[in-house]
Amino acid sequence: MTTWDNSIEKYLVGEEVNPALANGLINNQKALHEVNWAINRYTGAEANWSTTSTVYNTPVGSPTPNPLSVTITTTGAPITVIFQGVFQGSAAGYAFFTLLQEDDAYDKDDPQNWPHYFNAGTRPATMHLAKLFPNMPAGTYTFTAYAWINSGITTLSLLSVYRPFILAIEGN
Amino acid sequence: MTWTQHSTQNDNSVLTAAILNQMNDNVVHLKSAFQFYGYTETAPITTTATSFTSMGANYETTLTPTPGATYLCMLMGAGRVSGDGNIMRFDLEIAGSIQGDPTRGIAAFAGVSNAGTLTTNPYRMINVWWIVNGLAQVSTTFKWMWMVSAGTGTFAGTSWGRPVIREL
Repeated sequence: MTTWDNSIEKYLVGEEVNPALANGLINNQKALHEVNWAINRYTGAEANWSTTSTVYNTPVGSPTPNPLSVTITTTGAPITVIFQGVFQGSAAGYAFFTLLQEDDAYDKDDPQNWPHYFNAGTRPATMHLAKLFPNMPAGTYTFTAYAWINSGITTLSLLSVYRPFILAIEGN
Repeated sequence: MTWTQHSTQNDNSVLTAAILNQMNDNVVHLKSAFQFYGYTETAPITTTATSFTSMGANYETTLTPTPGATYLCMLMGAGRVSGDGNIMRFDLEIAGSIQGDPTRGIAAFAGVSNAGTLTTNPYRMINVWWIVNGLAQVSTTFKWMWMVSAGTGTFAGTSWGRPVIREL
């Protein structure tokens, strides 16, 4: 993957062609085209993550990565994070889901934390989360999918066989 | 506009009109990169297939991937499956290779018999996402696939959704 370079200088009026500038422009075009993204997609043997937590927490289990998270390095651009996974409750009831950046505090007023009702807990339900992190200074960041139960459900499982993934895309 | 990778510029290289125009074409490509929107249907489609099968021509597209490009694939719509507890599954086939588990796919939705005010077996929002890169620069077909464990699955892309394959 080609890495975006913030340090490209600008041409000055009347300046002769500068290979460093021309190549920087070419490099950055290529970086935009190739797109900086990172994904953790589970493709291993069947072994689910699960949680019995009633406060925000990560489903954990034997699959790797544990918990399901993704790390990406940005040169200072917005990051979009997308999660897809199939969950199953132990019974009908409510569960909550969100995406959090490492060291973020849980915000109960975040719309991402609105509850999802599992009509029939023992049946699979596909869950999607997407969140834009708009103001990210240059650096490396880890994002994690969180899920926790509220009422009715005692154990919430994230089913590995459906190849859940968490995806981070840098840039607009 | 096709993406073209530039050659490296060196000292004493001459920036020609061809090179500058190519760079401009690449910017245009970045702005307008390939996007496929399916859907010309006038009614919901159904399936009783119990193994993965194509959702039909409106959910398929063929393209020659651009070198280095990443493709975001999305299926959006509404659907339902008859029979309490029957499961409708979705997957994506790229160049003849199914991306998820061959029997369970990458997304699943169960039929439910709702008590209360909702009707039995209601339509629900269905989204399925996938991302892929590193594809060979040969004619490549993307096919959205579906199946049911039993019963009849229905997908309404008509007014509520459509499949998308787009180059990022």
